[in-house]
Amino acid sequence: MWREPKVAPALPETAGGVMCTDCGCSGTEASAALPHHHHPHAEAPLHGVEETARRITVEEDLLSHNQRHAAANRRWLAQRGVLALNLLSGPGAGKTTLLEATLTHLDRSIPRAVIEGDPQTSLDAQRIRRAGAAAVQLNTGKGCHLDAHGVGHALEQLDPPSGALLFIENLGNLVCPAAFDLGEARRVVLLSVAEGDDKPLKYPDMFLSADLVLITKVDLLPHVDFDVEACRAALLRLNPKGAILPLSARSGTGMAEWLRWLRACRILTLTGHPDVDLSGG
Amino acid sequence: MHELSLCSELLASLGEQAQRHGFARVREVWLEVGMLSGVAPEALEFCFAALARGTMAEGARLVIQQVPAQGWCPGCDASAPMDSAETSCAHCGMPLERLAGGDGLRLKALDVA
Repeated sequence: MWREPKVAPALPETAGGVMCTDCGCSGTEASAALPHHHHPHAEAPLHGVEETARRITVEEDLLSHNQRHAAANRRWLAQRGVLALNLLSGPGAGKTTLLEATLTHLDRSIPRAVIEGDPQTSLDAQRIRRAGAAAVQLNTGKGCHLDAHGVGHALEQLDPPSGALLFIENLGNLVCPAAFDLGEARRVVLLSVAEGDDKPLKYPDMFLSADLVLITKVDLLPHVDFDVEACRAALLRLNPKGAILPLSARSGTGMAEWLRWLRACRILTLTGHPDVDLSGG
Repeated sequence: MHELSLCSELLASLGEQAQRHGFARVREVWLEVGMLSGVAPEALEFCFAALARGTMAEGARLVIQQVPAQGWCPGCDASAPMDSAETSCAHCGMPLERLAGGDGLRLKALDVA
């Protein structure tokens, strides 16, 4: 029933700025193209053009590709009244398990949808569907992060209703995903107590970019050397404005606060949207 | 980070410029790399050389200028350049905040034939 589109790695946009003329999708269908690159091949000189040396001024921003798609996603989500959250972490920190627990306990009146990102398999999308939510799985192959282009296609395929909470579960990777805005409203970074309390120091870009850091699997604290207060202090030095919440999807610790934070984000972002009813909380 | 996909985009851009301006070979590529962009010039050179083989940009030299970000010290209420995300104010030691620039990768110009 659900197609599993492959995400093409960052593709060059044409001079005309039309999305996806290279990978063949029109922007209204999810790309099923295999990853491919484009580069110009050696061409014969144009007839009548002499080989004279000259300087051509270009002034082109090469890093703006993802940002343009992210901005488009952000507009699309805002128009529909959908709150998108980008969930990031290293592999195995508990993103999917947290989503399963969240979907189970989230108020039934709140629509929800999930975009899953992994290099391979649709294991996580299957778990999400078993938890009762619609999910689209993106597979990046050798790619190491979700990008706004791929997420844009997934959004159109998923078509979340107004008022929905849209969770985007990024690849398990503390490095690359930090640099790629997907168009999300909030960034949530997970760090489990089994991964070491020094990760914020080692991966500052990731933790700096977080609106909320979840310290997960706290039920394991008796069995690991993880100094929660040291980790919290390091996080606050990095980003004094960020929120920090220890939790355990398994034991339920912190889950009520997490759900409250989600409801609050919905209210902050979606209040006043003509198509969204927030009376359910 | 991701210099390979950046070079792929760069080469596509060179192709577009060739169509627009009608040149056959690229001799030099002038780039401005922000010091906070996360882009490593050596990796760019390596990846570009690899991807440019067999194209009109084969053998082209990358001329890279690294530019700082404009930062601000909340302690001194003064601006100062930043050459990394961890740069501290030279006067009071507070971490600088990035105001503008220094995080891009710009294709400035091409020397072509």
